[in-house]
Amino acid sequence: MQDEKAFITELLHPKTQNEAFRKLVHEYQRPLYSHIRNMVLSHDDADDVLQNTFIKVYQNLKSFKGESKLYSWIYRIATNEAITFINTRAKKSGISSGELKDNLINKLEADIDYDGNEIQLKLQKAVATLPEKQQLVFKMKYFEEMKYEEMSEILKTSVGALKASYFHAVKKIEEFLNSN
Amino acid sequence: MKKIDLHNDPKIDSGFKIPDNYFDSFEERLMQKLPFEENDTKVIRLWQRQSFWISSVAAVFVLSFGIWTYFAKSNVENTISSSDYLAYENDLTAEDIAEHLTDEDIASIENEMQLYDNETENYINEYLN
Repeated sequence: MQDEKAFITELLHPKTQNEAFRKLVHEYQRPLYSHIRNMVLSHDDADDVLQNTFIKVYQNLKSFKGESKLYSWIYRIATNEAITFINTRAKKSGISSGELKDNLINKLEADIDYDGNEIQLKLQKAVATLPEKQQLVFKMKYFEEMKYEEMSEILKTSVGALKASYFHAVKKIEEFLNSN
Repeated sequence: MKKIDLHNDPKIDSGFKIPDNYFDSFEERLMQKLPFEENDTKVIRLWQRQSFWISSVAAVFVLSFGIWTYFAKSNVENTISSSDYLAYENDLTAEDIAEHLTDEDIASIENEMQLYDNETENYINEYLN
C-alpha cells in the first residue's frame, strides 16, 4: 500500500474518503477474512464479523490517532469483533465460550464450507484444546504466517511472550496429534 | 507411524473453503451498509448555488426595468391626455363652468373670495400703512 500517512489523510478527507475506503477494503478483505475465519470457524459467521469489522473501522476512522500502524489497528478491531461475537453467541446459548468452540469444531466435519482432510481436522481439534490466547497466537503464526513483530503490535504483547506462547502451543498440539 | 513435527513437516492447511465469488460481491454488500456520503450527489442548498444569485440579480434588474418602464409610460400618457383635454377644451369659459355649479357653490366661492379680500385689507392696514 502507498505511504500510510498519505493514505490515512485520504481516508479522513470527505472528498477522497469513499475511494480510499474501497481501496482499504480491497486490500484487507482476504487476510482479515482468514484471520476471522480461523477464530469463528464457520463461513457465515466470518462473513458477519468481517462486515462488522469494516463498519467499525469506518465509524472509528476519525478517532484513529496513528499511534499504531493502520494494519495493526484494523487487525485489533477484527480480533476484538471475533472474540465479542463468540462470547455473545456463547452467552445467548448459556454456555462458556470454550464449550461453544468445542461445538463449532464438532460441527466442522458436516460444514459444507470445510473440506479439510483427516489431519487438517485433527489439527483444528488439537488447537481447540489450547487456552484462548495460545490458540490465537498459534493461528496467527502458523496459519496466517504473521511475523512476531506484527503480532506484537496487534495483540499488544511482547515478542518474547508471543514466542513462548507459540512454543508451548506447538508442543501441546504435537502431543495431541501424536497421541490421538 | 511417523511423529508429527509442525516445524519440519509440510505445512498443514486450515482446510477452510471460501464460497466461489465471495469476495466479488463482498465489497458491494458492505458498501450498502455503510453511511457513505455520496459526493457525486451531495445536496447543495439553493442559496449556495452561484447560479441562484446570478438569477436573482438578473430577476431584480428585469423587474426594476419593467416597473420603471411601465410607470414612465403611464405618466407620459397621463400628461398627454391632460394637455390634450385642455387643448380641446380651451374655449371653456367661466360661465360654462358656472352653469354646472349650484347657487350654494357660487355663494361659497364668493365667501372665500370675500375672506381673502378681508385678509388682504387687514394686511395692508397693519403693515403697509
